[in-house]
Amino acid sequence: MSKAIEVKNLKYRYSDDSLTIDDISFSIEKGSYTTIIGHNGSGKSTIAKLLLGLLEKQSGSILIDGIELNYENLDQIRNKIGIVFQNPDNQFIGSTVRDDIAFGLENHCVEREKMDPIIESFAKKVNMTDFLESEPTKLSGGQKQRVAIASVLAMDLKIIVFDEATSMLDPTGKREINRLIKELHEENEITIISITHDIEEVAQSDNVLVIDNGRLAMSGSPEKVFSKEKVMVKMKLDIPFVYKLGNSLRAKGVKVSNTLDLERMADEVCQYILKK
Amino acid sequence: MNNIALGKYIPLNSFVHKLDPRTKIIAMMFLLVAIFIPVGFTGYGIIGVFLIIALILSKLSFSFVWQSFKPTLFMLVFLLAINMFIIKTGDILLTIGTFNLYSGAVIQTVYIVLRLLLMIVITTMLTATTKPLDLTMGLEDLLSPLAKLNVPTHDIAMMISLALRFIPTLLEEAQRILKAQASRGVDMESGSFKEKIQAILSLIVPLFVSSFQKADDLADAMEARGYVVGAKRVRYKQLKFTFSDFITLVAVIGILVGLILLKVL
Repeated sequence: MSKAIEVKNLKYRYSDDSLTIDDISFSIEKGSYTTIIGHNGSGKSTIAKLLLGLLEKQSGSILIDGIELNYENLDQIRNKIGIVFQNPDNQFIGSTVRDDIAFGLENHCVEREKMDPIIESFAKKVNMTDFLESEPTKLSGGQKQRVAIASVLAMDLKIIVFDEATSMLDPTGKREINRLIKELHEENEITIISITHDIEEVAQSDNVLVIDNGRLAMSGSPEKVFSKEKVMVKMKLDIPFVYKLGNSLRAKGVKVSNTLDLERMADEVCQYILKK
Repeated sequence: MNNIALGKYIPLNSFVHKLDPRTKIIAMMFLLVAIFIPVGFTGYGIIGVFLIIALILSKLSFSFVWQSFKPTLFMLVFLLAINMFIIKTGDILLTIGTFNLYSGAVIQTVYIVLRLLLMIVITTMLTATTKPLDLTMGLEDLLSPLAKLNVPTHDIAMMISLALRFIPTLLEEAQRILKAQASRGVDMESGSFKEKIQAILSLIVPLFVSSFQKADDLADAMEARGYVVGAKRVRYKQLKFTFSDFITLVAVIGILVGLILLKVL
């Protein structure tokens, strides 16, 4: 598989003197689902903005779908990568759902006759067909985030970044959005990068990047990352309960596998007790 | 805030609502010019009849128009008082001691009242029957010849529509801050003038900070979706000039030309 994103020796600092992004390198496979975790202020959102070219990198290189990101080809890059931000209100640009989805299409100079079918099909995809004429103040946070997702999808992108897209939502909204992200990943060949605090979401991804203090602290499958409980706790990160349980059991000599499935864990524990 | 009728959009489905905003803006301008052609009561009568027909077609209630007219009543009484002392033409209608009331004063005041009334009805009808965004779009189209003179009409229209889009969001934010400050003991309602000013500051400063944050986020979101200032883009919403627009414009131009002829002949 070829790479959707390749980042090499990326460095960035805001006006103060310490590096916010301190020499980070990673690559992301096409069509994969990657989560980026790290405690507040670790530089996760800065990475997202750098990938989109919203902030200008100071050194290192970023390749998006094989194209080196620089200030001359930003429009080309933005035909490939899109982002859903954290705050549902501040990224709602149009005055109605329909206008908001149309905004990106207008910028990409899609023919006017083709806009309506595109808008309708993506509104359907995120289940917002009944709200096409609604104004943002009449929508819930989860609905606004779904519109944001539809707006990004409508632009026919290969890579979508979710920058803590669920952190301002209530549990129902969070679950809906997580399900939608998972669906998108499975049905379409969209590469997903999700910056998140939500451990359950991390568990459903293919790949995890752990950022600590502007550096890449760990990367690998969720199972691999979660098995290093001590390192994670040191970086003020949580791991799912099932993992914690598994890790503690193994430490006590109970042989259970590294799984996220609570049922399976229960079965294995029962079997262990029976064998005893 | 909600009882201010001036400038408020009333969502109805009527002939006037469906007109192209451009037609309505042009019609408004022509009618405003027509009001100032001095042909006396005949002119006001013609415009008045036209407006009453339009008002019925727009399905707006007369009481709604009256509401927007009410704030100007005070001014009219004031004008009448001044006119009584200044204008000394026509016949003497009334004598109280050494003071004479002339018919000219009364007629002049009635003229002003009628003009104001007509102007308010016209502008109220425009804003009440046209969504702010459509109004912006209409203005953008009408101003588009200025783009040749390097006036950034697209950018101005984008700014206005974003401002309109964020009014309810900022109102919500203001209410949230108000509640948050009230829960911390800020008293907005009572206290001396100085204390009230200080209380309002505790609302305005956080509101400003969050507005800048919002503007920053919005700029990022717009840029990420491919918006480039000044770049060519396709406009999704198009205005449509229909047969009813044609009829309306013909009628308005007819009134304007008619009044000018009346004045000249």
